[in-house]
Formats: sequence, C-alpha cells, structure tokens
Amino acid sequence: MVQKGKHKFPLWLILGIAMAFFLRMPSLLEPYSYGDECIYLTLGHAIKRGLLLYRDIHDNKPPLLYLLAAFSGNLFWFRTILLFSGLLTIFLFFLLAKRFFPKDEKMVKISTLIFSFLSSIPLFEAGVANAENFMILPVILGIILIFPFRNQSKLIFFISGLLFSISFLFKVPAAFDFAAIFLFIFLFNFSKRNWANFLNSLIFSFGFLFPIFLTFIFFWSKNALKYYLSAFFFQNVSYVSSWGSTPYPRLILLFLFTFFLFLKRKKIEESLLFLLLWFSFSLFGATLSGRPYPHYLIQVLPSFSLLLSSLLIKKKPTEHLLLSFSLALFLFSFFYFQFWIYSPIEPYKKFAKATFKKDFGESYLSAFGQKIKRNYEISKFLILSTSKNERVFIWGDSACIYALSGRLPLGRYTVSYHIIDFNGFAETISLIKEKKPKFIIDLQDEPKPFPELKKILEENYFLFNSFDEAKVYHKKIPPLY
Amino acid sequence: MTQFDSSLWGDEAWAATLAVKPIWKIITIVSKDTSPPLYYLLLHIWMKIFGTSEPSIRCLSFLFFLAASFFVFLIGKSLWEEEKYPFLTFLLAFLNPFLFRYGFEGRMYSLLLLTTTSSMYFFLKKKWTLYIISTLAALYTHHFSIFLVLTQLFWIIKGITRKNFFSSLKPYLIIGLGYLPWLYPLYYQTSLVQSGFWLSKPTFKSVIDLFGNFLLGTEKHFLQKAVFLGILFILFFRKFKDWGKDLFLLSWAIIPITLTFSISLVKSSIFYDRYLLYCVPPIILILVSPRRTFSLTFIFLVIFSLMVIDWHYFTHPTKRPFRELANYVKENLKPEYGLINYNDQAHHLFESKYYGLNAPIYLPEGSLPFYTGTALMEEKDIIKILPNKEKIMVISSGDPGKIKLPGYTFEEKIDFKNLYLLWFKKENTNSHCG
Repeated sequence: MVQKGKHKFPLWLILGIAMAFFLRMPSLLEPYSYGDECIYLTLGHAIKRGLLLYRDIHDNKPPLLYLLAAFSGNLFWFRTILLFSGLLTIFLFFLLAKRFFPKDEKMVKISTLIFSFLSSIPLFEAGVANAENFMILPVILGIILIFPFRNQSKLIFFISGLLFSISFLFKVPAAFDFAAIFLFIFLFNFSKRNWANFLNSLIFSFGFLFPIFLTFIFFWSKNALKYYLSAFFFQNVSYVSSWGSTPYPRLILLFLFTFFLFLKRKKIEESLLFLLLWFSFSLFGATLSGRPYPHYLIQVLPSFSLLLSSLLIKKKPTEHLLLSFSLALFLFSFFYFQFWIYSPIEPYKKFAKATFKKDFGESYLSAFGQKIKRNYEISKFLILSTSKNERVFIWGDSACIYALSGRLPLGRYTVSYHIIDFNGFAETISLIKEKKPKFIIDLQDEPKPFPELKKILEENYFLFNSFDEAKVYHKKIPPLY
Repeated sequence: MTQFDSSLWGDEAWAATLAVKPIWKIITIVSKDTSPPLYYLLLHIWMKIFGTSEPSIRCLSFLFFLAASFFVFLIGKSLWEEEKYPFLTFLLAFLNPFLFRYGFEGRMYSLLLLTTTSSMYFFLKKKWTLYIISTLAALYTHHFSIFLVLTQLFWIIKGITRKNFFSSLKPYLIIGLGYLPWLYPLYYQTSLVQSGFWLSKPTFKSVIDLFGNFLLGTEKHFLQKAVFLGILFILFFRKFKDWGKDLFLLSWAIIPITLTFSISLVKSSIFYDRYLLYCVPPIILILVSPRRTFSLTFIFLVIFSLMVIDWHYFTHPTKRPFRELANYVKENLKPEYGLINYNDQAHHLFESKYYGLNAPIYLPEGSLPFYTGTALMEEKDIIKILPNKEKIMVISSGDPGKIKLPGYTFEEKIDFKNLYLLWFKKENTNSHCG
C-alpha cells in the first residue's frame, strides 16, 4: 500500500515520472533528424571501429557522450538510454528536493513536478540525446551526497567530486556547477567549520580533477594529447565567443552577484543561499557561448525548479528580492539570447498522426522535412553500394547519412562546417587525393565554395545518382588497358 | 557617440537658437509660436552658466528627467506606504523607454514631465503652495498640462462640500491669476493651431499605438517582446484591491488622452504622443503596486530588458549628424560659393544657425507654415532667388533626386546618413551654334 508522505516512492512521484515517460516517449520513434545527435552516433561508430577520438575523428565535446553513443549503437537505443536516464534524474531530483525542503513535503512535490515537466518537454529538447540531458544526473547526485556540506566523510566529498567530473566529461559547462559547489564549501561556509571546509573543498576538487587527469594520460599515451586539448579545450574557448557575444560582461555580473551573496550570506537561509549561487553559476554556464540552443538551459533546470518553488514559501525581503532577481534573470536570458522556441505540440502531433494511421514509414519521415527522407534514401544507397569499411566523403551538413548508413567519413570531419570552422580544406583535399573514395556526395546545401573539391569532381568523378538536390559522384574507372 | 553629444535636430536647434536671445525677446518670439516660455527661459539661464554645447543643453533635460523619476517614486511611496522596494518605481520610471528618450532631448518635454509629476505629488500631499508653484510651472511649460489640471479639478469637485467650497477652489483661483499674463498669447497660439496643424486626425489605432509607445518606446528592439510579456504578467499578478487609488491613477492616465482625442476629432488634431508623456507615470504606478509574490520576478524581467533597450538607445543615437555636415561645409565653403537650405518635407535652418552656417531657405514661391518655426525666422532667412554664385551647396534631408535649382546642374552628393550636402554648378549659358 502506498502511504501518503512516508513511502519511498509516493504515488504522486510515480505519476510525475509516468508523465515524464509519456512526454518523452514519442522521441524514441523519431527518425535520424537532429544533426548533432547524428554526429555523436557517427563518432560512436568510429570508436567502435577502433578510431581514436579527436585524432582520427573530430568533434569538440568531451569524450563521454561519444562513448555513450558508441555503447548505444543506434538512435533508438541512444534515446532509450536517454529516456531512462531522464527518469532516473527525476527520481534523484526528488531526493535532492527532500534535502532542500526537509520539512515541507508540499515544496518537494511542487519542485519535483516542475522539474519533471520542464525536463521532459520539447521546449528544452528533452527528447534529444544532447550532453546536457546526461550531464545533470551526476551533478544532482553529487549534490545529494554532500549537501548540506556538513558531517560528510572525506570519501563522500571525493566521490561527489568524481561525479562532477563525469558531468564535466559530458560537457564543459558543468565546470560552473562544480565551481559553485567549490565556492560554497570553500568560501561561503568557511567561517562555520574553518579548516575542515578547506580540506573538504580540496578533496572535492581532487575528485573532480582526477578523472580529467586520467583522460589526459590516456590521450598522451596514444600520442593524441594535442588533439584532445585542442578539440576539447582550445576550440571550446573560441566556440564561446564565435557567436559574436563576449561572456565577459556576464562574468562581471556573476562576480558581482556572488560578491553580493557573500556579503549577505548571514541574512539568507543556507539552502537558499546555496541554490542562488548554484543557479547563477549554471545559468552562466548555459549562456556561456551566447548561442540560442534551448537544450543549453537544461543545465539550469534543477536549480531553477527549486528556486521557482521556493517563491511559494514566505521569505525575508532580501531573500524574496534575490529569488525574484534570479528567476527574472533566467527569463531574461531566454529573450536576450533569443533562444529558439520549438513547438511544444508538434512532436506529439506527428506521433499521434503516425500512430492513428499506423504508418511510421515514408509519410512519417516526410513530416520531419524533405531532407530527412533524402538522407534515408542516400543511406540506403550507400549501404547497398559500399562495403561496411568503405569511407565516404559528404560535402554538406548532414552527419545523419553516416549515422544511418554506418559508413564513416573520409577524414576527421563529419560535416562541412567543421571543415570550414577548423580550416580543414587542405587536409580534406589531400585525403581525397590519397584515399580516392568511391563516392563523393555533394548535398548542395553548403553555401561556402570549395573550388578544389569541384575541380577533383570534374576531373576524376562522374555524376552517378541524384537524390533531390544532392548529387552522388562516382570515381571514374581507369581504362583496363 | 551617445545621446548627450549627438548633433541637435531641428526642434532642439530651434530651442537653443531662441534661448540665447535676451529674455524679453525670448518671451516675445515664443508667444508667436506654439508653446509657453518657461523652458526657454530656464535654458537661457542654464546656457549662460554651462555653455551652449549639445551635452550642456541635454544635461538640463536629463536633470529634469531624473527629478521627475524621483517624484514618481515619491508618489508611489505616498500612495502605498506599506509596499516594499519603492525604488523599483523610480527604476521603472527612469527606464521607461518613452520617457528616457525625452530625457535626452533639448526641448521642454522632460520639464513638462517634472512639473506635472511634482504638481501631482503636491496635490496628493495637499501641499497647496508647492502645488500652485509646480502647476503654474507646468502651465508655463506646455499647454497640454491644462488637461492634468482639469483632472485634478475633477477630483477636487468630486470631494467638494458647501463647507470647503472656497478653500478647495482657492488654489485654482491663484493658478488662474498666475496664468493671466499668458492668456492673450494662449489665445493667439490656439488660433494659429486652429488655422491648421501638421498632425493628422487620430483613430482608434492611434490610441493603441500611443499606449504601445508609452510602454515599449518608439524604437524597435527585439527585447520589447520581453517587456510586453513582463507587463502582461505584472498585470495578471497585480492585486486589484484599492480601487480608490487605482481610479485616481487611471483618471490621470486616461482623462488627458480622452480630452485630447475628442478635441482632435472636432477641431484641428493635437493628438500626439509626446504632448501626453505625463500620462506615462500613472501607468507605471499602476503596474508596480500593489504586488503579489510572483510580480517581482516580472518587474525585474521588465527592468533588465529596459536596461538593454535604453542602453542601446543611449549609445546608438539616430539623429542626423548635422555637426559633421557643418564641419564639412566650413572646410569647403569659399566666397564664390553659395549655401542654401532646401525646403523639402523639412528644412534645417535652425541646425544651420546653431552650427554657425548662414544657409537661408530657398523658397521661390509661397510661404512657410507657422509650425516650421517661422516665429524665430528673420527676413534674411528666406530667399526667393538663388544667390548668383559659381557653385551652390544645398542642405537637404529630402530625396536628392528631386532637388532642382534653375540655372544649376547637380554635381555631387555627400551623404551624412540621410542628411545630404549637394553640390550644384552653374550651367554654362554660352552656347555655340555651328
């Protein structure tokens, strides 16, 4: 029997998780249509075939997401893992909410249901296997282990640090969640337990740095440290400012806000103080690059959900002011960075239509755009026309063809914008000349000219097939004698 | 460049050109224009102390604007003493994009805002001497303040009894006496406006646009969506419990607009957003108090968005760069060249005067309407015949392709962001027949 308020799995939580399940379920049957996800799966395939990340195949995120994609193998399993990781995250969030509102079950309920809903809707791209979706699980678990930062063993602090490191190895902005916790233990809590806190923060940091250090060792042992550092650190630095917005004014704002919180720390209840600090750092992390991709905001959802429900509790004027200020910052960021707004019902409409028609075939694919259908056709063609280990070069923005066909790109780059961003033109051309792939596909969707490629196609290839605008070129066969 | 040091535009230059004249002359000239004299007199004193530069002129307006925002804060505080964070009212008044714009305009609008908000504050506080002074100041700043006085009078009459009849109306008798000296100029100016004004008849859409401008400002910005959404939520979470205060504020916002709208329908149109800018503070006061728990989040959302919008406005002045044009003319003008203002949809006579250019308006036929600033023009400011010069420089902001000067051919166009300096060369009349 489910006893209200006492059971480990109260009924409302089961219903909340069920709601999340149904909200996310249609994503399992969606076709390969999300570019980034296809890049992760392509890198996953590459790992499975023994290629070394960053050196042999490139993207600019830390390694865990690609390892998870490799483990999944295809989109369905990738998203299934995401679905269950999302549901587990909601359960962990429930435990976290209990830490923050130990005597207020209503607040635990409200915040968990808010989180369950927000983290499952298409508005924040909940159904797409982006790193942010996986990153928040270890962060939440890490905080559960150590909050309220007292009476915990050194080992727990170390494990918590490890969890933050896992999160960081999914995506770099998790470093800001880590920084918030570190600051809180080290600085905000300092007067209370003096050197014990100092030691705890050091152990926590050690736990965080240790796995990262191990990855350095690994890539160093493979003679690929420079690729690793370049892809996952240096390119991220340029990525941050490549959208035309510099993060420095926001960094100053973050510093001022943190300083203000520090000054007012004795007037603010401890858990709220921590929430405000965590929220401001994760919001900074989510808006670091100034790019408008809504899944970036997933990083903020745990602290945002807790803060939002905190508004319902009677607070001191300063607390209310800071709480409202922080929530307004979240809303403001949404408008300021002009985050893309996805239709909240479109995925469900497509799913419902396909279910009622019992047709998840061509018409379902077409609902996601003509290009998706084209990608499927090209992939089918590649599966039939190439052997499994044969490499293909695609000039355009569609890693989904690699992910669908299971064929690997010719060089390190999976999409044309990688070649453009990292100036990989010469490297690509010399590879084409050296490896002479049987097929080169020009998707005709890349506005940037690639004259050297055009020349090679004219001289050494002939048009073999077309799929809508996309053109498949076949290597000219030399005369037998 | 900021809004402080960008070039003056026509009306600002008119004010600055007028305000450097002796006091009696200012009063005489302004009485033949469309507004009362207080702003020009204050600007006259101010420029004597702080100079006639653009930042100096605009600083005066900015100070009026700051003081007006402070009075909005005081009104909010006196209406809802129990409300926390009264500084938010000041912030919202200061950041309101419509008021902010006139905080940097060298004209009478921020003084109108200050005098009307102070008048309302002293009215609410029943400090009658200060009320009379500020109300008279408002009436001597802009004629539209009369609609505010009528609103106040409405509330006085509503509460009048046989006992307090004379004491209630006494301030208005004094205000009436104080305004007597300007009655004849008012009559003259009203007759001028009735003879035809440049504004078109308002429609229902004009009223919607007016409120849009009041809340979101007149310049397009992508964050206006956030402000709009924030305002909707603030209204949604607002406590409508104190109807007396709400009605008073509503009357302050609505009565002047309704009266202006009605007059515009039956007489010459006088319906224009900036003349009614003193209707913005009551809207801000309605929005900011009294609040529920969630209101504060949306107030902050509006504040953050307005900060960005205003900062963008402050650092991206859109006024035509007349100063740059004047520098170009000064560098290139020779005795054998002429310089004129071409009267298209607007002329730039007063900017020319302010920046030290002698560029009369070329008007071959007809006369200019009074609202183009004729009260301040001298005979030599309009010419019917072009100067007989080898080349003529023409100042215009109209379509350069449509400008024709008899006996001259177009030579070159120098573009100063939609403000043009056009070179015309005398046509060669010595034709040879072969």
